[in-house]
Amino acid sequence: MTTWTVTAQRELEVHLAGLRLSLAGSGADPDEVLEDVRRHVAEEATAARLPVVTEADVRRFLSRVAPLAPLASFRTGEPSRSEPSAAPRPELPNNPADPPPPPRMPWWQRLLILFFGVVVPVVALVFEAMKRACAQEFFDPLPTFWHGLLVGLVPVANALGLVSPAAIGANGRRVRWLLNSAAIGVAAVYAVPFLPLMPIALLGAIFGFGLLPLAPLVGLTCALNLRRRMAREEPAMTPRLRRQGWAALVAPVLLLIGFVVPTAWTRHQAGIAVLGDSTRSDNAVKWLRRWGNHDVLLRECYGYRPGLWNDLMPVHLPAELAQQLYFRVTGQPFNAVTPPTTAWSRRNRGWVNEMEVGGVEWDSALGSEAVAGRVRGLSMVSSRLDAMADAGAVWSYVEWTLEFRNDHEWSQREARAQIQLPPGGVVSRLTLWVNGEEREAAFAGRSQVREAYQQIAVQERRDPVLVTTSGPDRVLMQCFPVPPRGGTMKVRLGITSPLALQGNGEAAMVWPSFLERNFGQSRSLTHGVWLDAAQEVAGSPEGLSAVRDDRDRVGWHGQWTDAALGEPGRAIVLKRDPSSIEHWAPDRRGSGGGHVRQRIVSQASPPVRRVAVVVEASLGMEGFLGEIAGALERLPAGPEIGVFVVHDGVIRLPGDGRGTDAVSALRQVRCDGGQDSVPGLETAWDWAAGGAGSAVIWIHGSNPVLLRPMESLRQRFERQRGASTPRLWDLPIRHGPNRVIEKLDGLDAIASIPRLGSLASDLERWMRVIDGREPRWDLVRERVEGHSPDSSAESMASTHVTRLWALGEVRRLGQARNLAAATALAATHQLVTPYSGAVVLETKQQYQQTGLQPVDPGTVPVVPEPGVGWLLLVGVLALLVRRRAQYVARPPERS
Amino acid sequence: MGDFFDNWTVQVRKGLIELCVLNALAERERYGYELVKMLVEIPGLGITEGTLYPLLSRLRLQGLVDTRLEESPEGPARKYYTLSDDGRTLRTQMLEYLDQLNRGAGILRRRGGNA
Repeated sequence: MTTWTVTAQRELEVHLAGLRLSLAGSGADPDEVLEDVRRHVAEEATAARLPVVTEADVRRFLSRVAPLAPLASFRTGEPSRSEPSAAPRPELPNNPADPPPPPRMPWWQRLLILFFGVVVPVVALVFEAMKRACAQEFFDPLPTFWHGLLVGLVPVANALGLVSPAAIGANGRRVRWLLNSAAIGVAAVYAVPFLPLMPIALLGAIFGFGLLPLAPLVGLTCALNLRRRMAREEPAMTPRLRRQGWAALVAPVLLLIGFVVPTAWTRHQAGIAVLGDSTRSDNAVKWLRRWGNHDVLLRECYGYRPGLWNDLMPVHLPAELAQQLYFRVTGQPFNAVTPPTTAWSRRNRGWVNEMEVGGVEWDSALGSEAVAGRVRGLSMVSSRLDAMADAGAVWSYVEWTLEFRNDHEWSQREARAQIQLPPGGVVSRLTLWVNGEEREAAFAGRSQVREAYQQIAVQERRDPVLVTTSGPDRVLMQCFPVPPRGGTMKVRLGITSPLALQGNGEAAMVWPSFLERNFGQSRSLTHGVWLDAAQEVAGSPEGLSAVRDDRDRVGWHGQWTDAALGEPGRAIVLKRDPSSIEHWAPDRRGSGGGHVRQRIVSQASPPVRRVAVVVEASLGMEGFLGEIAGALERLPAGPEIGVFVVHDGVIRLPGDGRGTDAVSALRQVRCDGGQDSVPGLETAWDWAAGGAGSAVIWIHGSNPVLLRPMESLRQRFERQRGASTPRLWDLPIRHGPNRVIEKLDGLDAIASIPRLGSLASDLERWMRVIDGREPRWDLVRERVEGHSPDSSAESMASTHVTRLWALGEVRRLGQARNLAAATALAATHQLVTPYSGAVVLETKQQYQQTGLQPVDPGTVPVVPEPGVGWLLLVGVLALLVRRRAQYVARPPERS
Repeated sequence: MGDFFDNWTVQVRKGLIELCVLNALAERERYGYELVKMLVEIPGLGITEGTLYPLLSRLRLQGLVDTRLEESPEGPARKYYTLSDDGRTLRTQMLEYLDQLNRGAGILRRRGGNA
């Protein structure tokens, strides 16, 4: 039952009296109209379920049903434009079809809409974009710039809704209508996920910050309020415009759903791939390769929240598993691509800066043994490789000088890189420039130097550089801190290596290169390469130019890109005298002042009768399978060849690997994602071990992520019996880190095939050697106590030969578990081995503090400046060697 | 340009408003409040609640609609409007004329192109 107040009844009667007057001459029956209006007002009150109708209610009803001004102008004939009106309409003439303008919005209502519909959403948007408070605590409402743009529609539309319709014209009103529609759609989408936060928001509203989670809801309320008003204000609200309004409302909703669906689907599949059983996991990975949003996976790798609505999904991927999955799906490690970014993270500090363009802000691997992803601001600004090689004594020495620069505004940086050494190489010198002065390293036990580095670099933030091994023929270099705001740090690594003998008449020099690094470099930056060789170079080295000095000595120099440095074709082949087979070098560091004798011996390998070829069909190998198939096809008859393709499992190709069926099948294999070669290697080992005299050759790309434990594979190679059990030959096609090989470090059964040319030539050369058709030329070094070669012979070989002997001895001692002796020998000969490392500290006090002793600068190897007469000396010595070899005149040893 | 269009739409609506009322009642009889709410919601017509009751009164006086009162369980008695025979005849004439007008306008539109 509705009750009318007295004032309400009086208000109605007064109004009707006025209405009666205005209806005079309208052609309508005033009594009837008044009765109709009275009835209508009563209906409104009933519909509104008002228990008590007040004066204000009556005014509100009457403002719609019977405003006096329009009725006063109601005419059945032509509208009168000149008739005075109590509420003149600025744009439209008075006529029967004209809607009466809604009463002007009260000032307090305008103020409320301005605050809640414009100010609060703007503050919420800017605050979240800058501080990412919601993204950190609950979910990310602004995962992309486009989300921010859509959210920005709400305050814009609300602000426009407050503008007088007369001020913006007909077109402006249409735009306003459409914007309002879009804003309602956006605000509604955002209001839903914020609903669970309402209790917190309401509590927080007391302290002011609760308005931010309330922003979508209050923005939506304001937009709806304005929409009702606009619908009344818009006289030309055509059906088309209404349809457009609905379209404008639905479009951002669909857009936001469009953002959500691929992300949700990708995360769902990722959950299956990581946590599902083997079959479901493989299927999910296939789906993700084809349809998955790789950017979403990348965000998971960094633990970045996936964004609006997706945070509410019960899918949680541990970052480590996400990183493995990213590799399986894309074929590249997560830290090899630019980290995901949003427009909001560019200028922010703190957590969100993980997403900085150009690298991560927070270096979580600082001081660790992982290279990890690129860090922002750090780059390599110069690189030069100065090398000398002696093909006669079959050694080379390269000094690689690197300079790093940190352009970060405030953070010190650690430069880390995994470096591929030439086969059999060892780091024999490490130098750091401190205040422009060169400081040489201390060589000691691996754990001792790492501890010193951790203490001095990471804790005390001073200036050390550390080099340790990180797998066969691999070292990890790390230096810290590279100062911010353009600070630089300069280091030098000296690398002693044997040359790779090709027969007895040629020896190849392979350059060191980066496998992985956490710093960037300019695209225009190249490595300055310089080689002084005592012997003639075979052919014309790619990318190098010959320079002759005034004594007609030849040096080779060039500028190589980073990619070129690791290419197989960049190896330098030097000619050598085949009769030069024995060299002596003094061992000044050993007790008793002995000598090291190096002999070049040919050894006939036990014939291999079964070769298992494991071909990894990861995405990085795309384009190489045809070349591999061609190389296998051209292999001469000999051992039985089985081809195992690793492609989401292991596939044994039919027949012999050289046969048409296998070659054809290999050519048809499609490369996908990142593959796990370990099962393939295990299967191949099992097959190869079934026959006496066998080998496993692994042809692969980069393996930056280890997808399963290695113990089962390692056990096979550790437990092998005799020379007839399979040996693993590593043949990388693509340059990059290889976690599998790293885990097999220290095993005798693991060897690499030197990459000196094309795949076919390298493979064929290797095949000729292992099936016994060609002798294998090896360098055999031994320490001879008390033996004193003639003075000319002693001076003929460099102490690099002694270092290479020491390296072999350290490995032997290590395998015999005599670790103390191995470490001591490595430290004595200043070598970085699996048991020792090198560290440069800044001050004597730091050395004392850590119990280390830097090496005497007079004992380190050096590369003479070009033009110094060492080449002439080496040439003369080579002649003497030849004469001595002719005098000794004994046939090569065979074992 | 905008003002011209606004004025033109006013003229068009003014000519169509009675026809819309007749059409609304051609389907079935409706009571005033219902009729008003329905017509107000029609997009583009631009009718407001305040303009309809005088119009309905005029149509009744002209014999185009009939009315009757009926008690309502929820509120005041409802006044139902229904088309008279004259109203139906007039509606038919108006619709035929409007169709003719549309066809003519359509010919001109096709000649002028759809753009």
